[in-house]
Amino acid sequence: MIPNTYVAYFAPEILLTIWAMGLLLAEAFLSLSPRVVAAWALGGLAIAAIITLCLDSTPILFWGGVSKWDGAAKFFHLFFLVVAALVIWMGDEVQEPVPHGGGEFVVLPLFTTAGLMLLASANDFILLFIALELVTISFYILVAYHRRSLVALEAGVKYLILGGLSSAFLVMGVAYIFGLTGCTRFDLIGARLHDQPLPPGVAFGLLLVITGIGFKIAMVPFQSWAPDVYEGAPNSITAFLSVGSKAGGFIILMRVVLGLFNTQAAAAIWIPVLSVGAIASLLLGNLAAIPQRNLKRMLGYSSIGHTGFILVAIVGAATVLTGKVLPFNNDAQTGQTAVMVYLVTYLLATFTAFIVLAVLERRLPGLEIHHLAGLSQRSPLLSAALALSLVSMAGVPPLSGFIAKMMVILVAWNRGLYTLLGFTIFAAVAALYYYLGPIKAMYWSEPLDETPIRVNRVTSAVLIVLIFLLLLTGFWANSMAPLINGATLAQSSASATTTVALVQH
Amino acid sequence: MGTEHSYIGWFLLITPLAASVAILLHLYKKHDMAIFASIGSAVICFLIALDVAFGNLPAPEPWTWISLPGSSESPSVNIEIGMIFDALSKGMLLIVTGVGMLVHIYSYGYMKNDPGRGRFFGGLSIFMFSMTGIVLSTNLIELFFFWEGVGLSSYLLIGFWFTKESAAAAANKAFVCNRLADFGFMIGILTYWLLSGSVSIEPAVVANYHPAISLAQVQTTLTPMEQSLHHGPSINVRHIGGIEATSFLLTIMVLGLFLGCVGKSAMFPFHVWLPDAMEGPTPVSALIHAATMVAAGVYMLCRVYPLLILSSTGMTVIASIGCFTAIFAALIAVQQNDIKRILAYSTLSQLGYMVMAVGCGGPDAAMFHLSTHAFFKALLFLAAGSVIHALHDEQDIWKMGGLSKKIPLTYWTFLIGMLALSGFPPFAGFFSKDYILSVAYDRNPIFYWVGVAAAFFTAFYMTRLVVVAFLGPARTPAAEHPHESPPVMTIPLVLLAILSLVGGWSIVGIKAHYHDWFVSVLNAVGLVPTGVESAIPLAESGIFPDWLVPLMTVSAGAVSAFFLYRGRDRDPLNIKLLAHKFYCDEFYDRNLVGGQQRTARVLNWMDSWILEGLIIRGAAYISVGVGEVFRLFQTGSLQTYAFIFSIGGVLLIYFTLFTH
Repeated sequence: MIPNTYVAYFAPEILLTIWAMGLLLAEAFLSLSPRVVAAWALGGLAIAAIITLCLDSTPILFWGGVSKWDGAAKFFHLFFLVVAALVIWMGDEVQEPVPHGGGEFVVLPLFTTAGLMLLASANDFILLFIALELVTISFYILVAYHRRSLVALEAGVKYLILGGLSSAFLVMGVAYIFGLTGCTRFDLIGARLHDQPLPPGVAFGLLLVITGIGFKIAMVPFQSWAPDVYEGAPNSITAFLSVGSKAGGFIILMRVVLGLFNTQAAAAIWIPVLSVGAIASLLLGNLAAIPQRNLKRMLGYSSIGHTGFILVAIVGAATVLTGKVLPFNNDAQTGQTAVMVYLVTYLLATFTAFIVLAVLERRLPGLEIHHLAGLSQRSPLLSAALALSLVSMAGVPPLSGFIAKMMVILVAWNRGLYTLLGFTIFAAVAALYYYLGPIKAMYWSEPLDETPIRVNRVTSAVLIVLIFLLLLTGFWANSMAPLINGATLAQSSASATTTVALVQH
Repeated sequence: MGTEHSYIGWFLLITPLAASVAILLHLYKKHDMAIFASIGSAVICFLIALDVAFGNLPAPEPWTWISLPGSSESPSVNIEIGMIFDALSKGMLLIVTGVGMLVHIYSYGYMKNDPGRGRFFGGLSIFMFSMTGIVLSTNLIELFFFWEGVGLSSYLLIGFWFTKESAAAAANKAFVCNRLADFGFMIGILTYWLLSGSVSIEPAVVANYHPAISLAQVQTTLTPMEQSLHHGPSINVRHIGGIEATSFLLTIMVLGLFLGCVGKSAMFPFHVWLPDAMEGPTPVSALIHAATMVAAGVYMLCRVYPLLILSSTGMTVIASIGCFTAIFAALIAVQQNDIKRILAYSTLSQLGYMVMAVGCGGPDAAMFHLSTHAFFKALLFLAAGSVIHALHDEQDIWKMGGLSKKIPLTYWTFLIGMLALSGFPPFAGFFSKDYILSVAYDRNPIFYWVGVAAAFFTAFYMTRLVVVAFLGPARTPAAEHPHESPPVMTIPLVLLAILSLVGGWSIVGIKAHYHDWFVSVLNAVGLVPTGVESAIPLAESGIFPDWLVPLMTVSAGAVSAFFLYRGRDRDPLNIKLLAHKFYCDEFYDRNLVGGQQRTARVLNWMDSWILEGLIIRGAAYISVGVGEVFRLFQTGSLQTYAFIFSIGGVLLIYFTLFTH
């Protein structure tokens, strides 16, 4: 893969950034209503999605090698676009309008999305860091958008400080790696480290980088911000954080550990770290969710648990791992596929749940579990949607979450990761406990208030589509195949040497 | 078949499914729309079925549901949702959709004033969906899926009047019996999968499988007719999946598959649910417990017939159970007083005939009888429903009487059904029952003689029913002023009566149709060399030269019952053993249910103390406790968070880098 100067692969990012700036200006000078801005923002996302679909997924290094396009990049571009569309739509249509708010609330996610998409194809630590900051800074604003609410402000400050801390770790790690290898491009670093024992400084740098990324994906012990921030942020932003930002963390984690540090020596460092992180996240996420009474906090903890499941799949995707060959698909790629499948099913379930919560927030006195009592009698659609999304997250067949958990468990089993497998199964069982609580309240408790909750047509339609997809992908897992097939990281170790040679000349 | 496909076939499943989903989710209180959707879907299905049967509509392209690419150790697994349109399924499809449609229409009249009729029609549509699925399944997994769907819908329909305790109990009983038997069915399916690595039941695939397992014993299971055609064994024993396909496993497979049929078709000893299932509305009895659902078991046996002949033990068991059920149920029916129960036991008895035919190596005879039986049994049930309707829900035949003049249309159609069931020429039942008896005689004369005896009792109890219920004076005030049912109920009766009359005639061709199918199946598995099909005599009615024997027996049964019951007000016979159905229910209650209760109590104790108390509660308390501990870290204080974050990072680095 010879780097070239193409920018075509950046078209979606460039388009979104220009589009967002244009919208901000237009909103300021033409006094557009937020609804119109949201419509334009959705239009921009649609164009970006079309461009992305037109790019084929042949692996290529572009823009002088700081970026890399491959199946995984394409998958995550589309993933983030879908997430952003749902977030913008939720922000405009579903939830409580922000007082004195303008169009920024629906425009800022465009910047975030551009940053996430840059992350998805990053091949250079500098680009990675800039993209990450683009994502994080726009999130600082979005999280604290209800600036007159104390909870929101608290969430914003916590996210800001801890985010800054994690960036510091990350940058320090990058500095170590750069200092010892003299380059920041993944393929060049890989070539330098090729066939050598890992220098301790690089290992140190790698651990610091993992710490920084661990914040994004809410891996234990870097998870402490998650429940508070999830609770305080507006619903659409909580969903954005828990799906979009987390997926962004996972793609760079995969690019770093499965792409860059995919050697025996490095794996000896990161496999134990991620395994411990996975186990700790599985346990803490799923057990600490049990005593929670607030739904958003509960989902915050459960999202930590989901991080654990996905980490198991990432460890299973390590090609250097010796283990049995998977019965289907070839070896480690199944681990990567499991990550993608998990994220898709997680997207469906999380957004279903948060759309319901956003609707309920305006109609119920609070989002404690007991406020849901008798919801099935007040709105069959909302309660069915919430119930199905929770059941799917719990991994009960035939919903899509089952397929995802099953794949993770199969990966762990087939690659001989029996300790992780044990914890995965334990966590999956323990998770049932708290996911069923809200369902019990909705279906088997008497309502406090009998008035039916009306849901507008668009929201109902979106919920029905999401429910349908939850069932479809669960009942017929192959329906995800067009999306998942080929969505893997391109390995470039062999051609990297060529690149080095070219650069050195 | 070729590669031609047409997506139209999918609508056989989609239409009733869409109707049932729409009704159960949305329309169950809007009765008219629900009924319209349900009847409309039944009519569309029937029209498509006509196109399939007579217009040679090709099957839709199968849809791969689950696909696991294989490795060196295990073969690839593809589970498809497909449709098989061959002679067997085409015939069955016509019956299911045709009779189903007539029952839908009839139900419109019968359920007119029921407050839950929307829900009722929703249940009917699920039933049509599942039943059509069973008929068209290309593999056992798909079949099992729909099989359970039929179980579910029959549960919903039997327990339709769920506020009535007996109806709810009957629904439970049916469901439990079917579940028990389905467990055996699953074992059969899995054994087949184990032996062959495939779950397909398409004849071509099964034929490929055939040489793979020992056919040594096939010879012994074939009828003399088949043996004469057998081209000599080209048999090799192969190791499949490391397990030698022994005859033992084959027998397990056959018996397992048969057990599925035992549950669904209510063979002895799982027969107890069917008579109780008469608690459902009468159209349900007609649809489920006469024409289609119970026939699903027999249909499934015919579908897997090439597998059944791999075990001679299995075939003998099938024939014996069928034969026993035929006579057993016929005897019980002699002493029943509820019009629907008599018909229910007659169904059991007729199903026994069909299963016996399969076990004797005549699946074509079984399917022939299944078809004619569907006509006249649906007719009898719908006519009985008309009687019950006319008498305001009176079901005891001793409280009827004298109905022949007051509701003549119902009477005449019922009479046709009765003659067909008893096996009088030229009605449909005569030809099919005669064919079964001839097949049975070829296999073993014992089966034949038992079958003839059952035919005697069949004629006896049916004549008893007609004489008591329709002739003589009215015995109760209700019976004096019955009213004929509306045309929407009587038109299906007339149509079914016509079919019950002509269904067995060779000009209609049902028998030849199934015979051709049977020959093709034997061809496919290599039992009949190509080109000698005519070697099996395509006999006309009365292949057995002594067809006079059954006819005389039947006449004797009818005449004796006629003279015994004419003008009586109470039953001159009083056989407690038969009236109490050989004490089967009592036996089960006392021994099985009692034992099961005791086991259940032990299990319940283990469940509540060991499983729930120790393991689940314990785990839950630990989980909650650990969760509370974790929560301590969540102080809400930013400084604590930053501290934990940094300490976490430091510990991570320390343990990874500095402890080696």
